[in-house]
Amino acid sequence: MGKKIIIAVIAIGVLGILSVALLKKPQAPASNTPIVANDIENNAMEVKNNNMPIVPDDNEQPIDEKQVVKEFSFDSFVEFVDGQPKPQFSLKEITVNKGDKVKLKITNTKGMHDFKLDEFGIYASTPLNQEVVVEFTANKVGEFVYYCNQPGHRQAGQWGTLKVLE
Amino acid sequence: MLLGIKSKKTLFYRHLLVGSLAIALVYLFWLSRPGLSYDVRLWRALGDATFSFLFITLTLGPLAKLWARASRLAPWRRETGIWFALLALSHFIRVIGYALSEPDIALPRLLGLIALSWALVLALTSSDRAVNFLGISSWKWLHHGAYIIFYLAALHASYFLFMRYPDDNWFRYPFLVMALTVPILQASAFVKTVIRQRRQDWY
Repeated sequence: MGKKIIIAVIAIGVLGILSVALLKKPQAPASNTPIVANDIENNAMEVKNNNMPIVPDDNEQPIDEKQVVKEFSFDSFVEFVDGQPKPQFSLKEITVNKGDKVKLKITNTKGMHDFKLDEFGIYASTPLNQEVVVEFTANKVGEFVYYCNQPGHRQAGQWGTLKVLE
Repeated sequence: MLLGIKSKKTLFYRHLLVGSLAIALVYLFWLSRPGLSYDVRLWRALGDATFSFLFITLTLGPLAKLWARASRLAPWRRETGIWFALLALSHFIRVIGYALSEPDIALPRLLGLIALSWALVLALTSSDRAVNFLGISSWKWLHHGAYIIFYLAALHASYFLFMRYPDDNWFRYPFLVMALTVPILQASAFVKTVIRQRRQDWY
């Protein structure tokens, strides 16, 4: 085997080792440092963390100092029923009053999930074992369905109802 | 088939070269999707590199029949095939947790699993020792199954690329080209072989 070929093999090998080294999983943020999702695009695979709260276009309002903040924490997970995976949210119903500031803390504990609330223009990726915080003002009265946008998850029951009372 | 390479050093260098190419390819696929989460990014990179290596492995044979100069590359099928199986196994290991927790993917999951199992059998029998043990005709029969692996893998990948996640995944287009190129090359090589054979019979 020629000297040049050996050098080429070693160079490619070094490149390979470097690439493996760079594929190390990034450390998850500490549990008390929540990710604030800022992704309202309809792309279930994308994760963007730039620490800006979600403020959908049609939801922009001056922040009222007397505004009530309602906070909810829940999990995204998968349970197995008769051997079939059934993705779920641990919280099925959220009730708030119109004008409340809603803060949702979502943790994906098993599987691949996200969070979508169409009427408020909210979409958030929820990477595994990381708390994602979604904030918005409940400025519409009615019942709205929030759900996981991964294929088949909503149909399998991964959805809940946001009730906004007058 | 029989390569007749006796030197372990030569075998090692051949695998070092092809293995490095495999890792480099995974890395390039990894680089191409900076917006994805770690897990999705890695298993897509592994899956794309796996299919690319299967494509390379299966085009070397027909290319050698169609183009005499490409026959020098044909003996590399053994290494590319083994590294295809290793990439497929890595993809499986990374994705199995997700695959088991997702609804409605039983069939594509099964197709992938059959393809992987067969690929591992072919990888384990990719040696001169296996050829000698099985005999050339039975070894050939077994390894012609590589094309079945290709069609199983193509169906498996098509489902995820075009049906389950029809988002903007740039690999859909190279995948289509590769998925069509293999049967076209295979058919062309077959036609050329038939023509050559008929000419020989004529004379």
